[in-house]
Amino acid sequence: MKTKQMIDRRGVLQSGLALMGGAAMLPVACATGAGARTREGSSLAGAKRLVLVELFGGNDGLETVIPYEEDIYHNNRPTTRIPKKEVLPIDDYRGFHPAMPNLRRAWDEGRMAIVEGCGYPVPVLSHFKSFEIWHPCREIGRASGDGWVGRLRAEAWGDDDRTETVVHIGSHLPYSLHSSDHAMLAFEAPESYLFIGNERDESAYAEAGKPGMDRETSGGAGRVLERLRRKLRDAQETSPRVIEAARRYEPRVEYPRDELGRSMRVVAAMIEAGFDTSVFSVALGNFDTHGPAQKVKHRELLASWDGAVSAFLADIAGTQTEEDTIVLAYSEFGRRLAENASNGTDHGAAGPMFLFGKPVEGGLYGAHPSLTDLDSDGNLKHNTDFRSVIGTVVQDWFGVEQAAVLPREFPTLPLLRKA
Amino acid sequence: MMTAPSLRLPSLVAGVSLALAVAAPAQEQSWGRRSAEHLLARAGFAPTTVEIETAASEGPSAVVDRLLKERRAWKKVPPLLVKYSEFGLDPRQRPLDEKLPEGKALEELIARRRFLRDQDRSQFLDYFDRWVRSMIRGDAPLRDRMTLFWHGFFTTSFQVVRRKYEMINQHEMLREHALGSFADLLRGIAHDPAMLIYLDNNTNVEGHPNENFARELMELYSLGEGNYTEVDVREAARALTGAWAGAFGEYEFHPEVHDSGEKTILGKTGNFGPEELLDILLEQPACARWVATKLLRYFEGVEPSAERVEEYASALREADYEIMPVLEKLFSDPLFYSEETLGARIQGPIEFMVGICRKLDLDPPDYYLFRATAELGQCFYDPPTVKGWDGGSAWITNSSLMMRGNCVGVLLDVFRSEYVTAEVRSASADAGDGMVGTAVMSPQTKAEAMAQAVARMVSLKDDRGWEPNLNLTRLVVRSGARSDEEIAAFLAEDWLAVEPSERVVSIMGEFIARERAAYGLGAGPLLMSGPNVELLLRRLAHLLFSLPEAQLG
Repeated sequence: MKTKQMIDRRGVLQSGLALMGGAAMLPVACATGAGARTREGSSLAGAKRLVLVELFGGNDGLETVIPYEEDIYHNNRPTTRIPKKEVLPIDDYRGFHPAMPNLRRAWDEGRMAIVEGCGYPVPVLSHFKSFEIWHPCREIGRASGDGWVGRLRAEAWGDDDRTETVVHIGSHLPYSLHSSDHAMLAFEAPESYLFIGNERDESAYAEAGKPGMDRETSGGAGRVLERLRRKLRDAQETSPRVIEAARRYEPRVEYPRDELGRSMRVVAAMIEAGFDTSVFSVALGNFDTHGPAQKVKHRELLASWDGAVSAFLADIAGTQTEEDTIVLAYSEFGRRLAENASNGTDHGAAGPMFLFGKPVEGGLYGAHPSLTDLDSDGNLKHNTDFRSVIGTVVQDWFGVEQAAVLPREFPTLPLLRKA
Repeated sequence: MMTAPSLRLPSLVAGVSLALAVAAPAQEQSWGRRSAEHLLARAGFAPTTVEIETAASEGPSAVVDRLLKERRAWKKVPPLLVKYSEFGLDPRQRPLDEKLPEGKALEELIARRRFLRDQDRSQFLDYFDRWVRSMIRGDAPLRDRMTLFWHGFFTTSFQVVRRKYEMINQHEMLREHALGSFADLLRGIAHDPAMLIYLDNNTNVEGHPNENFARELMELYSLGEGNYTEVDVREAARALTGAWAGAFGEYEFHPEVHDSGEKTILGKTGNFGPEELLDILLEQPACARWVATKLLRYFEGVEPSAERVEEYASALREADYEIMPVLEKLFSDPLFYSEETLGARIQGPIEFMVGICRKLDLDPPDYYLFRATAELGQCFYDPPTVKGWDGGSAWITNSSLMMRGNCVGVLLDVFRSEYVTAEVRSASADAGDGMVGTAVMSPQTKAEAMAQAVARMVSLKDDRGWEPNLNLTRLVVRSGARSDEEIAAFLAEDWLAVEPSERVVSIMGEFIARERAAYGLGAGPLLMSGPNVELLLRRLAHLLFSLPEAQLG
């Protein structure tokens, strides 16, 4: 039997594992967390948590992890290239974009894994359609059925119908979170997650949402109404908790005041307030630039990403949360090697993925895509299927069999620290 | 409630009624207000009380007849590109591909592009506004309703296509054939530039077929999953090679990149091109089944039985894919009026917002319904995926449920500054920073959050001078409702498609009583008019339209 450990937040897993006789087969990261998996007060020590950061619009991987020693890179990118002396070196081949000084520190501290050359077999250069491959993690790219997080949720926490198990913060909702059976908690910002009204409006609104009204509407409408009332009650229960959590939160560091910074701050606030969330999702958009403004814009976006993720890592440093939380950042594709006619770069194929956190085994994975062996359109070829990274998170972090979430089993990478 | 004469639904389609009567005698409803409201709401948009009463007294055959036949002749509305010509630009020029003439400065390029983008965006918003206003006026309800249906059936996203000229033309095509033949719609969409851009058919060339459009054409637009093979997709893609969107937003067929070799598609072999492929698809029994399934699911809000799908698929085939006879059959089908379907459908954001404007006889501010429906998860031409909107319970998340109430509040203009400052801040001063009742949110937090939320919602309407042309006081005074409970019952009856329980009515009655006290209005009939009476009633309307009951229709 394959190991398939449900993440159980109620601490009953321990005995279950023994019964399965699978302790030796346990993914290490899962086994280490299991001992601490108890509910103490509101903090959920040991409950594994994933924060997804979606960089949408096609982040230029070559200007993020820069092959600064390659003349081909400099020659192909007369405008967008970062001069060698400005690159923050990782080794004698590649280095970070200068807008990433804080994430570079995370790298130095071994809390950052870079998986280079990620992609999938037949590259699709439409944002929308590339995400239709990323989000469901299917072989054929189209969003139908549940997203991979939706399937993970059904598999690992299917008996838990609270919306807060999966939380998305921000305006751009990734399809990966979609689940036909389990509603998630999604809101743009805490300020927009509320019913506007005064005390009297609210109390009437809440009263009307209570179950078991005296004279029930019969037939199909009655059943739909009960479902809607349940949503209403869930909204009324979580909305003030979200807002209060965000307001009361005193982060240990300052977060950037842009959208991603604010979103990451809310993630930290919700964890601190005891939300029982396994997957958080946030996003940073506007990577879709192609022209003369691209170089400046890309620098700003990387700086925003650098600031928000590093603030979050610094904020949770030294807490239990740090032991239980990893951050995965990705984009739907990278950019073509050669610059386009308007001093920018066009949609490409392979790009890097990033995993952050104390449980992460820092280092380089995959391989930097070749700058000479390009596909027929001049795109970088991938060498690592992005589903290997997601499969690793599913299997080694959450302890869930890949087959329940992905179309098949992908080779895992040793991205997570051994105990 | 008005009791209508017990009147069986007539058979408008010969030979159908007998079979149905035998199949489901228990489901039959007598014609009355409830069935009249149901028909008007589903075939068009939320009817007003007057419309319901008229329809109830007219009888079903007259109403169905009017819905189907009493329609304006369809007239194509040209895309609103005049603004381009005013600036000496080619209306067909792709604004986002605008190249800077040699030697111009970067700032000029950026400014020019921004200008064109703004023009492009506003023509799209204007176009959508025109469509929703037509829904609100109700002069072509069934055509508008069916256009909304096809807009979700055939999906295209402006996120991919980007240029709105093609989007508007596609929508006009859907509108033209909305009540015509499905065969024309399918042929129209296969020749539609926006669709061909959206699903990459412009890169579908001999030797390098792009299967994207071929796949969705079969899976989503004609046959449904399981009714074709991967080989059929590949072969269909070959048949579609060279069917391109031209540079000026017109369909172009490029024989030089078309694969003219032999293909085998769904059992037929020949040197098929796009036209033959469409004929083959339309010949498949699965095609009518797919359209029938989608139609029944959409109009009834419940999953149709296999027998029912088969029955409607046959009707569609017999009608040679003409939609009208099938709609006529549906609107005369006793099962359409069963207890399982009446009021059991969750309204989509567009119909929800349109319905409120209709019920209140409100003229919304420019572009507001575009923004509000986008907030609520149904942005015009921006489906979440190529599959379109799932609809039904997927429309409602806990944030969208509250957001629906907030979107209504803007239309009722109840989110005024005093709402937050006076009400919430005083509560916060009284209670200090402690907890109030069962809420976990402190009054201080709440005041801040509320102020931000109000500012955010109000910013969704552009025109800050806009005020709703509403007189709810007059409506209530004329109704003759006197006690608080009578007022609540009257408005709930007037506005909601689902009769709320007595308990909900009494909660609303109590709300009025508390508000009277807050506004110092005293007990008794609300004969005294004035800004506070109107505000009280608008706030009641806000609450009623925020209820779970108000999401049904």
